[in-house]
Amino acid sequence: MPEIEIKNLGKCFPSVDKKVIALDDIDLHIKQGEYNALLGPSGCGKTTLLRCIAGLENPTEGDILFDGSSALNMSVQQRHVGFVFQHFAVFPHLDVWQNVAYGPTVQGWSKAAIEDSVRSNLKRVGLSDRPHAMPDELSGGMRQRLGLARALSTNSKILLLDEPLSALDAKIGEYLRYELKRIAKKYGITAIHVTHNQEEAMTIADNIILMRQGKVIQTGTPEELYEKPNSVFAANFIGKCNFFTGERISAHEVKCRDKIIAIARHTGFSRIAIGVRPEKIHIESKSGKNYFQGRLESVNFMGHFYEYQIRSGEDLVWAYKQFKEDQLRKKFKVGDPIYFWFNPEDCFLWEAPEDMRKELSL
Amino acid sequence: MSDTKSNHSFAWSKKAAHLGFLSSLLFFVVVIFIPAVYILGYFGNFDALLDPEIIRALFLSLSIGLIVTIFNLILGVPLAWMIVRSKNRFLKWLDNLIDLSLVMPTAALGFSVYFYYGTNWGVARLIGLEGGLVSQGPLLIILLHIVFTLPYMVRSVSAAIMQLDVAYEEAADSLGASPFSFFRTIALPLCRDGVINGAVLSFTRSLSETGATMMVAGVFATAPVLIVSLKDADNFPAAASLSIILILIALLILVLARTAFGKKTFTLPTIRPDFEKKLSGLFSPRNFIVTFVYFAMIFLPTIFLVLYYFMNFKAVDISALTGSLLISFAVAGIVTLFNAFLALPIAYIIARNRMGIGEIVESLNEVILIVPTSALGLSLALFWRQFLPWEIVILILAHLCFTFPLFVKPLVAAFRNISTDQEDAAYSLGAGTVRIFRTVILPQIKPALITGAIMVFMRSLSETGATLAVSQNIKTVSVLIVELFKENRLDEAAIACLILFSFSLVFLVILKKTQTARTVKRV
Repeated sequence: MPEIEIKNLGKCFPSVDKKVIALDDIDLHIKQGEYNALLGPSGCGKTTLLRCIAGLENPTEGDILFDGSSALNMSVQQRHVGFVFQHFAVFPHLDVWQNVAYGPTVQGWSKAAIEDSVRSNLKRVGLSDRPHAMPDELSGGMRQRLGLARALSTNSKILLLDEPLSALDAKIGEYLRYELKRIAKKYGITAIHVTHNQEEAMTIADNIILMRQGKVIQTGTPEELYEKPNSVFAANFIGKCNFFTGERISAHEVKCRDKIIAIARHTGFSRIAIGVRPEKIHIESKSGKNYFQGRLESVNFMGHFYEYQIRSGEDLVWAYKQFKEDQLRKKFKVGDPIYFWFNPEDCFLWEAPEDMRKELSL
Repeated sequence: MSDTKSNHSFAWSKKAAHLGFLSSLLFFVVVIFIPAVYILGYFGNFDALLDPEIIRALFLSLSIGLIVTIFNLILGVPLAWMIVRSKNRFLKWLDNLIDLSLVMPTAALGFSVYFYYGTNWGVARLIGLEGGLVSQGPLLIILLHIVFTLPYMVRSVSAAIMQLDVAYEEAADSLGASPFSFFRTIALPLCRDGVINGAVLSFTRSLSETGATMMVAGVFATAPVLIVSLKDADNFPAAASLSIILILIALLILVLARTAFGKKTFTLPTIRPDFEKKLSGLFSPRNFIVTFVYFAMIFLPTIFLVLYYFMNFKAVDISALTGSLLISFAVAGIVTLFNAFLALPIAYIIARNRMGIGEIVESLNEVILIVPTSALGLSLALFWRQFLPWEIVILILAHLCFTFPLFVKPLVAAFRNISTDQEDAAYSLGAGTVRIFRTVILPQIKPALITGAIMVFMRSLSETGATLAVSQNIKTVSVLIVELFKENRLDEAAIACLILFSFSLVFLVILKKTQTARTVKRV
């Protein structure tokens, strides 16, 4: 019944002139059997958090509870977690079979139990037909499957994955995503998967933990994070988003550029950041009430939709539309003036950050 | 038009480069390699081998080499691990001291080690003994050999550990492996080549050292020491036979090591988790023990001559030294300069496998490196005396020969680190061969050049075995130290040692600086 609780966790690395805070007061509750994605830009502390959970790093503050009891005094060996590495870390001098047998062997399992574990785990990851291949004979994707089989070999119910797909070719990584989730779900494994790829996190996770600069910014299902981002950073990092800043006029109105826009929710902030997803931006060839003006800078074919880039003042505004090609040609040409608007119900509202540009940099 | 012209000049520069490589190769074979193994031509006269004195010396040398190697494995492997992986700043800093006994001339080391263990000045005083702790003889030889061979072990093992991905250890930990199990099943097999290399270097260096060994051996004679005394007694057949045996042993070791190298697969052995867990308990005081032993048995013996000198400070007439010092520095300087020019093309041939003979040339280079120097010296003397009457020239040629591999090795490593893409990129941008060498390659191999130059200079300054074998009247400073020591003129010997010691300190600092510095220079 593995459940992980993290309480006020902090981690500082001593540095030459100042200490670097890698984790800052992290509180988390990881539920049993859930697939969690630890998402964030590089350097946000997500890998450090994962390594603290595994016991590969020691936190400087706070506590980590495994099923209610503190794990801080437990060594890596005692925590009994499966760990999957970004660069696989499969033992290069051992063949596929021996790599998977390593864990059970060093834990002193019986011969029959070792053989059982290796056989079933190789089957899980689809490597049953090559038990005696050496790691350097395998492709990257196969090596990571081997890494996964090895991590699962000792029946640990917690699987920690440190950017397991980022060293792989894009297509193979995409395929392996679903495999990871399928295997974790099938065997009731609690997984924590570190990634900087928001698309990967969205497709794989039941629960996303979004981090930035050592702090947890938001946790929730992929839908919650996409539809109710709690900050400019969250909206920007997950999916694409357009941002505008405005000033409060009344409880229902915001002045944005020279337009007065009605808003759906009350807000007490005086300076307001408005976020609108590109698919919620409407574009027109003629002006209308509360329409913003811009110039069409480029139109990009994205498969099932077109991406419109609109230059509006200093900003670049994105709109996603599913027009048919002939309609599109008739309606808009690159370089033409273009007008866009959005519904009050479709915007996110936050207090405007002091430095919007800094907030949007990752 | 201009196209054909540049094509023409390009082809010409290629031909010139080819010619340059061929001539340096010729020089390498004729001046370095053949003289080094010339003595093998005397193969056949083995009556001398029935001489019990020779058998005793061989047996002594081999057993000392073996004991020294085993000790180096026991101390060197954990020491290397500690230096590479420890997070403790002080332990990491130890890294800077390791090379001290490597750049220190062995004659000075012999002096220092003798006073540390063998007299009432050193360690004996610390534990309240009257005389020395260890008298001259096999045990003192072993203690001495450990001091100057340990760096070879530590360096080659730590190079292997640096290549070892930290994630392997984390993976093994997460699978429940105890530290000892990890060490035995993952770290050791993956660092095999480094460990074997360290063992080969320890053994062959121990087998070949002459000067310092003479100082601490007392009435005992190791094989290289015996070669020198046989040669001094004009018993050339016996000296030659013993030399051939030593060379063959060194070659055999090299071949054995080569066949053991590169074994990639490994079978997971049986593991007894509980037992290995208990053994892992020994790992916790490891750093303390290793550090203590290092200081007590390597560091203090190395620098002890400084303490001895200050405890005995006296004004000494050093007129006897100046001539030898001048000769030594002149020889070392000339040899370093010549070697730099010759080692560059040879290292390039090896690293880039020019003309498809890279591997062969590398093996030849390796052979010279492990041939015991007194055997090498005898071989060189026998070869060159046929053509050259001048002792000093032969001395220089001898030093050129045994220091050459030391220059080639770091250069090969440096060339291998430069991707051929960089050369191709420079060619594609229109740079010529010379320009590429000057602006792309030279800046990147500069640290290796400095390292090589220092190793060669110090080795030339410190070598005794080969020097004793080729010289009749000329005395280099290291040879002089041994002689002064034997004549009990300790104060003069101490001064000479101190001068060499200061040089090795300076060079060590430069060595460390070049290893860490990254120089950027304008094209």
